[in-house]
Amino acid sequence: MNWKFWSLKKSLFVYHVNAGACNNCDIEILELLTPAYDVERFGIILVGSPRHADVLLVTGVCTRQVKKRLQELYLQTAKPCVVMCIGACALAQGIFAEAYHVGPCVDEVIREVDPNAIIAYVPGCPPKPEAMIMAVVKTWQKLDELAAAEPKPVAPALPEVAGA
Amino acid sequence: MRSVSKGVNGKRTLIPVGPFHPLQEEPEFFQLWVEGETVVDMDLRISYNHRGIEELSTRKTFDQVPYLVERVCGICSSTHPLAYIRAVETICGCEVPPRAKYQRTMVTELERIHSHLLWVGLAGHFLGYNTVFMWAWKYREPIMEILEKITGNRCAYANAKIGGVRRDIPNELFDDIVRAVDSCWGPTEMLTNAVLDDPVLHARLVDVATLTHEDAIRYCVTGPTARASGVPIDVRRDDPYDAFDLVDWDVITFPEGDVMAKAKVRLLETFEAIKIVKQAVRDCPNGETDAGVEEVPPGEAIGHVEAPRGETFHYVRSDGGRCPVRHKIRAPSYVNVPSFRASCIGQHVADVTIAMAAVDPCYSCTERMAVTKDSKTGNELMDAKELQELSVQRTRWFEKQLGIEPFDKRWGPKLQELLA
Amino acid sequence: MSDTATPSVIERFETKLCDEHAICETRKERQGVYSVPIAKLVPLLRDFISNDNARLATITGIDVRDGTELLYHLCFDDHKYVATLKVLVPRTVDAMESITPWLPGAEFIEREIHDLLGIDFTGHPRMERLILSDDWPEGVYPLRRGFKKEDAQP
Ligand code: SF4
Repeated sequence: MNWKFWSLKKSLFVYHVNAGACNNCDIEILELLTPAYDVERFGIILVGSPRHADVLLVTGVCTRQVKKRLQELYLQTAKPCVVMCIGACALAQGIFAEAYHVGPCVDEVIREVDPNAIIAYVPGCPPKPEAMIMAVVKTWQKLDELAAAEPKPVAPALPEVAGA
Repeated sequence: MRSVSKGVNGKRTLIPVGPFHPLQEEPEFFQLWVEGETVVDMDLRISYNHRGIEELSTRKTFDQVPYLVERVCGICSSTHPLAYIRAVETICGCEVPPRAKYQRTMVTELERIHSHLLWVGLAGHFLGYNTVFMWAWKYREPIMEILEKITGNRCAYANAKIGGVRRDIPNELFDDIVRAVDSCWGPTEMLTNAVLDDPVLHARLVDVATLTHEDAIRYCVTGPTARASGVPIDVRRDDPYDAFDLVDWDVITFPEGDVMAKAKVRLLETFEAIKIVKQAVRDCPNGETDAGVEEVPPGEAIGHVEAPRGETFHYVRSDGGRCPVRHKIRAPSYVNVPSFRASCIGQHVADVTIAMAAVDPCYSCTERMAVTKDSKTGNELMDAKELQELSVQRTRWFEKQLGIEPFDKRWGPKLQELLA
Repeated sequence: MSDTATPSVIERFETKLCDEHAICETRKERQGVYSVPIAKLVPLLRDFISNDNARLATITGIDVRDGTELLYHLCFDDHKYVATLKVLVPRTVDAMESITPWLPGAEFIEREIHDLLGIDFTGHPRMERLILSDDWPEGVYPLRRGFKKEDAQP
């Protein structure tokens, strides 16, 4: 397996970004981390800084004020980083599509700074915790495919050392 | 020794908190001005979560608006529609059938139970008491499940509609509701005892971020924030709606105004909510659940209900058309949050987290020292010695709070001995 | 617990309002809307809040044909009554006396109305942008009539 994606195989560190959500999605994410669903048994854990994150969990519509900050957060993460859009809002702005203070869709905002970003979508309003676990599993499968498709890194040829 | 509230050499530091907090929930941007370890001023910038719902709502029909306002805040997702519906029902002058009234009461109170438990958990988390966090969230799970069973969704219930309820809760499910709330009673009791007995929690919560009675009135706060400062307001009693005047319950108030009082109010209210749900299930009559409102005449009215965080206030104006002309939404946090200025100033930076959480504004934050240079003079604001001095001050303060002998007294001679 | 608002209090409250030439527009069981001359509003609010234990729930701004209506919602919690005092701020003025200096709870409420409807509150300590984004153009008010999303492009 490609080492680049291998790093995303186990123990995902997730960072949660609320980009103008209604809190339902957010409490469902926290629900995942607490004993009822307990994703920590898979090694998934919430971290306090985007710089430690393998996955950005984005909820909400991405309001105009958040747009720039969201891009900034994405740039701060270590790549490759999977962006998970959680909930109808993050997918396609859901019920708030026509409101005046929402910016572009979350995936557009991320693609603006990184056209090759890996983005996963979890539909639902709010998605059930089971659906989110399912999404993680599916993302892992997808990453496997991506890793298979990517050319194997070739070890760089060692430079000739004179006199050896 | 210098008193803690003075700060070190009167130097000011700006601590930006947010807009993205490491933990969760809504983005808000605080600027805390601190002198030493004491907060002397603060400013707040919101907008990160502003979507423009009030304007959007004037483009939805009267029947669609409840689904929209339910998504103002997910944790209060039964009270926002209810406030709106109360306003529209006042304009129409329609009478809600009793069965619908009782069923609305059940859902709002179930929501209150899960919201208060959620708060207790988060408060524990902010204090680094993760056991409470995990426990509280575990014990609210039966409530979420029963809500899913009776309304069809774990979070956005959409159970109320203008003139009644959207979907009748069948009598067969009533037993399940009772079982679910009963399963919460024991754990809540245990949590209450854990909070009231724990000396560390006492040190962190008692006399911290006190919002005085006068300030509570001046800042127009509502809900548990007001009730913990000895202002006995509760919309459920002061302007009874649904079945709240038909069941027996108490308004919980505490005069202290500190974070501990807010925790106590919330915990004890959970018991009241459980009582209300059980009575509502017991008394719920059979019959119609929908008054069949056909159209909304011109007029204007307000509707307010007691959300878990305080009074949710809606104003609706209709011109007889399909959509509201103006729909004003005022969520409880909007009046509770500014009271930080009264409660946080003069506090320790470390206490600000829990002080902010005490209002239950749906976000958290952590302290990060970002600016260590004075913007005007460019001088370093703190050096290692000053920081150490601060931590010593803090330890002394804790020792005093807990009634422990100072460290030097307890260990000083022994240390001397060892060093000799 | 009586179901209706205590009548004597409403009477007292209404006489006070009548003395100041206020007109009762609608009266429902536990709420009423009164339109008040603009000059009398702040003294009345002050009186009710400091003497009658009223609580300011919020202020609603509505864009109407001749200007902006401001609705001050007062909750009389002890008496189960919610009174709404309504004033009309003419379009030519677009300013109103701030109540924040003596009621700090109104600070955010007034700033919000300033953002969304463009009413200036004179005497407000920090009349800065609060809930619109940083790149929102000046002078575009989303809750005014005829507002279009396109007007607000950064
Ligand atoms: S998708 Fe639904 S539940 Fe999630 S933030 Fe949006 S409105 Fe709220």
